[in-house]
Order: sequence, then C-alpha cells, then structure tokens
Amino acid sequence: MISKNLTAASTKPIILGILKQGNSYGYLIIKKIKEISGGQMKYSDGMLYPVLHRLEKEGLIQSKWTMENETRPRKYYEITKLGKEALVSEQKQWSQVNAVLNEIWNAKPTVK
Amino acid sequence: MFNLEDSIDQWLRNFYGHRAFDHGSIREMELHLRDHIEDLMAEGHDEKEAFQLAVADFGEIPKMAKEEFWNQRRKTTIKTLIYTAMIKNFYFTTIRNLLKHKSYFLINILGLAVGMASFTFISLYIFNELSYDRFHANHENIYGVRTESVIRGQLRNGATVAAPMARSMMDNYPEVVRTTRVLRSGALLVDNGNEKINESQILFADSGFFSVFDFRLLKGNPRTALQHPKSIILTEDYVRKYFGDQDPMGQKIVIEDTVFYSVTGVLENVPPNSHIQFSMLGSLNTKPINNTNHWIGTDLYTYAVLKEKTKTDELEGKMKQIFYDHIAPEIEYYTGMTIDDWEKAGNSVGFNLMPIKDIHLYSIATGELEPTGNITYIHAYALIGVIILFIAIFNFINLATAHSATRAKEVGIRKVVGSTKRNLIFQFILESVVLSLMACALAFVITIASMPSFIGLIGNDLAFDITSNYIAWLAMAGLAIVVGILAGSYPSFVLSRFQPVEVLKGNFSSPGRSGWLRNLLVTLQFSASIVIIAGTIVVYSQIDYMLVKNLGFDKEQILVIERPDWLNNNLEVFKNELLKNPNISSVANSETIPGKIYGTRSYRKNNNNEVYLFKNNQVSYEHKELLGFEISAGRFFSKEFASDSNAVVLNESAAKSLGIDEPLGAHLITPWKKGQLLTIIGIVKDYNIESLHNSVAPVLLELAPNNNGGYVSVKMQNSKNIRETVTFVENAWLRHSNDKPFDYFFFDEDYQNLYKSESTTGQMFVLFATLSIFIACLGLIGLVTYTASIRRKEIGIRKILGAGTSTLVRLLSTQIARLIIFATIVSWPLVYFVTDYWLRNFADRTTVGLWVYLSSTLAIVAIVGVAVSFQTIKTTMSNPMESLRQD
Repeated sequence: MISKNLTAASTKPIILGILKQGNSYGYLIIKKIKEISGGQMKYSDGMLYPVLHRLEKEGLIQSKWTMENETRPRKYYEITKLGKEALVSEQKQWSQVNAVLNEIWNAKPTVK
Repeated sequence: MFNLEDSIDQWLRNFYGHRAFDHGSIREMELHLRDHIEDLMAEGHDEKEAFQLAVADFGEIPKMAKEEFWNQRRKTTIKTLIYTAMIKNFYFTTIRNLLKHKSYFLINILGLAVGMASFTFISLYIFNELSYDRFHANHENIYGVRTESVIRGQLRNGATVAAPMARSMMDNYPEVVRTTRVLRSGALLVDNGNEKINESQILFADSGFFSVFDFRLLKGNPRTALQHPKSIILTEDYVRKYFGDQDPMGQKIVIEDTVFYSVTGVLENVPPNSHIQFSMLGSLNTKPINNTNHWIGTDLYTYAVLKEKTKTDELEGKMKQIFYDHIAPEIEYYTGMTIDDWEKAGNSVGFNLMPIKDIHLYSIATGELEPTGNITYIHAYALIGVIILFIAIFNFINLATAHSATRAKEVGIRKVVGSTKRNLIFQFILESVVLSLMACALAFVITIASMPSFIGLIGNDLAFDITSNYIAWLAMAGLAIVVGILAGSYPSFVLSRFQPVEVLKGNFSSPGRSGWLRNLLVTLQFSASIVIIAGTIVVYSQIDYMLVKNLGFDKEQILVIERPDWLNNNLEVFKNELLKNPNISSVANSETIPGKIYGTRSYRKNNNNEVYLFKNNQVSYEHKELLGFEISAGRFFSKEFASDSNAVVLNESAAKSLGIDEPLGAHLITPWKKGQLLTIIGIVKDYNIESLHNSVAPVLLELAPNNNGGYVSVKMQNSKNIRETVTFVENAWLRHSNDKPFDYFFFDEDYQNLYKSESTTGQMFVLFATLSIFIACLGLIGLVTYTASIRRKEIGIRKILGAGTSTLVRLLSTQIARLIIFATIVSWPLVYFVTDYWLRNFADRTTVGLWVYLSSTLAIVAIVGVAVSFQTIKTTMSNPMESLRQD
C-alpha cells in the first residue's frame, strides 16, 4: 500500500501522464489509476476533482463538456502544451528521485 | 425501500452548502457517482450496495470542499482584491441605510449637489474667461498694439493706435511678421432689399485679417475675401438673417443707402470667448482711413504677429521712435512747446504690446472692442467656488460623522463577525462615493436645467458646454469620486475605530475626538459664510455708489435716440414736436453722453502756452436740465445770450486743473476753433463720463444746438406710460426722418454696461452667497439634529425635573453661539483684506462701515437661530417619556 503523502505527491504526474495518452473524464481517470496501480494507490475518488480543477486553473489541462454517442454528458479533460512541458519536468524529477534511491539502496556498505 | 435517485439527490445536497462548488462541478460529481454505481451493479452488486460502495470510495466531502476552496482562494486573491459577495452586502447596506434615513440622505445629497453645481458653474465661467482668444493657433505670438500715455499726471491706456502704425511697424522692425487692423464704426444702416436695419455688429478689417486670426471661413477665400473695397463677410447667423437659405456669395448688401457691398465670405459664428466680436466684417480699404498718413485722430485696433521669442519690452522701447517721428511734431504744433519741454513737464506717450490672450482679463484700456473681464474677479470667483465646494464637503463630513452614531451597532456586529478595519473603511468610503455620485448626477441635472439662467446672469455665452464636452463629464465624475473619498474618509476612520464590545453593550457615546473636528469645520463654514455675505454687501454698495450716488447726473427715464443725422434739417422741429407730449419733460441733443466715447481736445489759456487736454462734448441748451447737472458757479448756456456760441462750461476737475483763482470769465483758445477766444461762463459739479475705475475726467462743454451728430436724449416725466411715450417718439421720428429705422436705448441701461463686470460680479456674489448659506444651513440642521439626538435622554430628564423650553434652547445653542463668535473673530480680518483688495480697483470707492461686518455676522446669527430653534424646539417639545423609554 502506497502512503498517503506519496500518493498525493504523485497525483499530478499521474494525471498528466494519463491525459497525455488521450483525453478522458474524471471517472475513467480514476478507474485507470486504480487498474494500473493494482489497487496499491488508494484514493478517495472525490479528491481527484480538486486536483483536476487546480491543474485546469494552472493551465496545464483544459476541459470541455461533450455529448458523444453516449447518454450522459461528459466533462473531458485534455492536456495542454504547458501541461506536456510540466509532465516532462515531473518525469525528470521522479527519475532523479528514483536514481538517487537506487544509488543509495544498491550501494554496498563501506567500512573504513 | 431504497430509492437510488432520492439517495443520489440526498448525497448531492452535501455539496450545495459549500461555496467552492459551482453547478458544473456538482454535475461532474453526480456523473462520476452514476458511472461508478453502474459499473458496480454490472459487477453484481444491487442498487443499495453499489450506491454505498460508490459513496464510500468517493470519500469525505468537507475535505474535498476545503481543497476546492483553496483553489478558489488562489484565484480571487490574485485576480480580484475584493469579494463580490461583500460588495453586494455593502451595496445593500448602503441602499437600506439611505432608505431608512431619508432626510439625512436628502440633506446630504442636496447639499453636495448644490455645492457641486455651483462649483461647476464657477469653473465653467472661469475656464471661459481664461480661454479668451486662445482659439487662435498662433495666440502666443499675436499682440495688440496699444498706447499708454501720461498727460498732466494722468495715466491713460488706449486700446487703439493711429492708422499708419501697422505699416510703420512692418517697415521698421524685423520682429514684426504680420499686422492687421480693425475699425469699429458706429451703427450702420444695412439694407437687404426688404428692410433696413441698424447694425452695430459691423467691423472693418485689413485683407490680412485671416492670416493673423483663426476665425473660420466656411465659404470664400481667406486670402482674398477682404482684398477688394466694398467686400463683406457675414457670419452664419447673419447669412440666415439676410439671405435665408440662399447662397449669399456674390450677393449685394446696401449699407448707408449708398454703398453696395458684395458678399465674399461666410464665417463660422465668432466664438463667445473672442475679444473681437462681429457679425459682419467689411474690407477696411473701403474706408478712407485705410490709407491715411495722419497720426492724430485715426484710431484703429492694431494687431501684430511677432517672431517667436521676441522681447516685447525691447520692441516697445524701439517703437518710442515712432512717437518722436510722427506724433511729437503734432504735439509741438498744438502745444507750442518743444517735445523735450513737453516731456520734462511729466508728459509721455508710449506704445505697448499686449499678448492677445491677456487683453480680455488684463486690459485697463479705455475703448476696448468688448467689455473686458478682470483678473481680480477671476481670483475672487475661484475662491468662492472652492469655498462653496468645501462648505459642501464639510457638511458631508459633519453629517456623516454625526450620523455615525446610528451606525455604531452595525459596525460592532460587522467587527464581531470578522470584518477587518480595512473592510469597514472601504465600506464607508464606498457608501460615501455612492452618495457623491448620486449628488453628482443631481448636480448635473441642476447644471443643465439652470444653464440658461446662468448665461442670462453673466450676459455672455459660454464657450464651453458641459453637455457636449466629454472632458467636462469626466471631470465631473472624477470630482464626484474625489469628493466622495475626501468626504467619506474621515467618518470611515471614526466608524472603524469603534470598539465592538463597548458598542454592543450599549455604552457607546459619541467619539469624543471627532468633536473638535466637527467644531472646526462648522467654524470654517460660518467664517466662509460671513466673508461671502460681507463681500456681497460691499460689492453691492460699491455698485450702488457708482451707479447712483456719485454720478453727478441723473440717468433715469432717459430715452436716447441714435443717428439724429437722419433727421437732416428737421432736428429742431422734431424736438419741438416731442415736447408737445405731456410725458416728455425735456429733449436735448449732444455729440455724446456719459458712458459713450468723448473726444479729447487741447486748450490753452489766453497768453499762456501751457496746454490742457479736456474731454469735449457739443451740447444743446437743454443738456444741463436733461442730465440734472448742478451748477457750482456761473451759469449754463442760454438762448438769451447770443455770445454763448463762443462760451464754454467746464466741470470742476477741468476748472481746477487750470489753476486760476477765478475761472469764470477767463478765456481759452483751441486750434479746433481757430484761435477764437472762448469765455468760461459756468462750472458744473463733477460728473463721471467714464467708469469709476478711472478718476473723474476734466470735461469741457461747447454749445452746438444744431449739431445733428451724436444723440437725441428724451427725458420722460415718470416711469408711467413709457410704452406709449416711446411709440409717440417713434411716430414722430418716422415722420421727420423719412422712415429711417428708429433705434434707441435707455440711458441707465446703457450706462450700466460700463459696470458690466461689476454688476455681473455683484449678481454672482448674491447667487453664490445665497447658495453657500443654504448649504451651510443644511449642515447646521444636521449638526443640531445630531446634538439633540445624543442628548435626548438628558433633555428628557431635565424636562421631567422641570426645565422649560427656553432653558433647553439655551442649553443646546450655547455651543453653536460659541462657534459663531469664533467664526466672527476669524472672518472679520479676512473681510477687511478681501474687500480692501477689491476696492483698490476703483478710483472712487464707497466706505466699508462697521455695519457691514455686524450685519454679516447678524445674518448668520439669524439664519442659524431659525435653524437651531426649529430643531431644538422640536426635540424639547417631544414627550420625555419617548426618549427615556428607549433601550
């Protein structure tokens, strides 16, 4: 089970990553995260929305209501150019964190 | 039984309570929940289970709401500083407050509106006066050429110079770029084919007129329109008057029955802020004066365009040479003195160059084209405007601080529920700005509605129109906002300082610290009012002094007929016929009358070379009787003495300047009468032929009973039947003049024109004094109401203990009486300086007695007394139970 803080911190790159693969709406995004993490990242669904709204306000994603061939309207989110740039920077940071952790954990203890 | 739709509705209601969610977000949540439930049911859960699982997965709403709220917060603090909801609340509180205290609201708005309207009027007037002649693009470099002479110790400024001056300047001084000259002729008879009209609005000008001035020619060529003799340009209004809708170009106009002018141009109406006013402009080369070489008696208004940065005083110095070359020989001829001796005797003639934009306000010259203004009045107006505006603002502040007592609880509650001091200040300033904007709108209505009366009062069109000028609109709105902020800031600081605990416990009493400010403001208001009242009295008594007391002649009920030359040889018959009417007591003809232009002639004593310049008039036997002169020595002209054709009558100033012990019987010689000996037969008391800005001029009267130039004056017995008498005179005129137009004016009205700016000032003073007192009264009523209201309980208790109404009135008015005394101490010295400064403009001035000071203070006392006693009595008459039962 992934801790709450870590979950919260990773939400932004995860959402941006999902949206980079294609436009989507809230419920689908949540479903996808749950699937990919195999239930290891536990969200309360509701908390996703404030994040989405915040990202929209920051201009990283944008939304529009669509009525496709479905019965219900959907609020689709789409990643913006700014969002893609943000994602790149997030990826870099997470990889760096990952690299640092790997380095530390794989190093053999040295004795003086 | 579980109902899915009801449960979803129920769940959604959780969101409504939070401001963070808008409808879009809530809809998004609903869709999310429905999708989830659908999926769960597809996995095999029943409706109820699916709903419960979905809700559980969704998580806690308040936590989410908090997150959303932070999003919102971030947005508002960045984008808008003020919460809309709060503004809405302020707005409603403002409106509710206004409706709840209608009288306070009305007093406040009305006072401010009247103040602002007055300020607007005064500003319009001042701007108009200051804008004179600035519409000429080149106005910085256009100068009027004028004379300044000192003759026998008397300084004379003349608005004109001799006709050859312009050419002489062009010939001699490279600084002079261009010149143009303007001739004012008297009224001329203009014939448009159907009727004949005496037009006084005619000027004549050089062909270069339009290269100096920027009057706009709508039709015709500015270079050539005045090039040929007998050309004439008409303004739009006059085109309509004479030609209706026809094209006037090339049409003929007959002037004085003999000269045919052709119309060569149509001019846009002359702006009201031009010191050159005309409706018809003829070519100057029509007139013989155009080419004359005479330097005496050929006066033209002359304007020169100088090169930029010309030092005018240097040029004026060089121009002195023109005097020596051309005018000095004439002086030597007339006086028999060498010019050196003449100058050594203290005489001098010089020319000065006055920037055209200064002519209207700074000229003190006689014989200007139009009545001028006076810069000292402009200062006075500006002062009054600011005073009135400030009285209105003080009012506003006073009423608002006084009124703040009633708002204390509101402030207390606002503070308790978390309003910051800044919020409160903002709220009250907003309120005050809303009020002042309302006042501004009202002021605008007042201004537009009373504009015609105001124009009637100042007797001049304004060059600026508040309605068509968007800058004026902006200025007014800007003024409203500034006044609102200014007026609202003090009360708002007082209000925001209230301690909520004290206020809500009911311990609130007036914020003591604001008392001194209120008293100060009221004292200032009183002082300003006293100054304005005293100023008004002084202006009025000075005008009265000039127009009635100190004239030396009687100008009432005199009808003056122009152009008696149309009577040809019928003058005497006409005069005799008029006398048959019992309403007419005397008829006189004369070359000129006081207030009109007098010619100057030079005289010498027999056997003495010293020269005296006297204002000259050619009069008939009836002149003295008609004007009611008093004879101080000798006698007036009489038919019984045939020798009177060689007699003269002097006024006292003239007689005194001769320096003879016994002037009666002495002889004078003048080149105008070819050296004949003229005997002084009488001396009349001094009378004013010019404005009293100048001291009494020496006047010499000669007898010329058959002179049909000038004017015929008709004195009527009384003010009854004036209309019939005028008709009678007109009929006689038409019979004897061969149906020439009958043009007349009333002497007193015409003479009043000399004091146009004084009488306008007087009337404006009265108007604005009344308004300022009105506004101050409004403030006072507010203040007294306030004092009475915070002392209601005290008054109630006093009444129960047996105090009578008079005791209570005294109790409540002591403080105000003290303020009036302070105001008196402050204002009297001011009154002294202000009136003294203004009266310095006059050679003969009225004395400002103590009664002026006393009566202005008394006026304030009386007005205040009425306001105070009215309010106080209202409060004291009320049943003490009412006030004691409260709380």
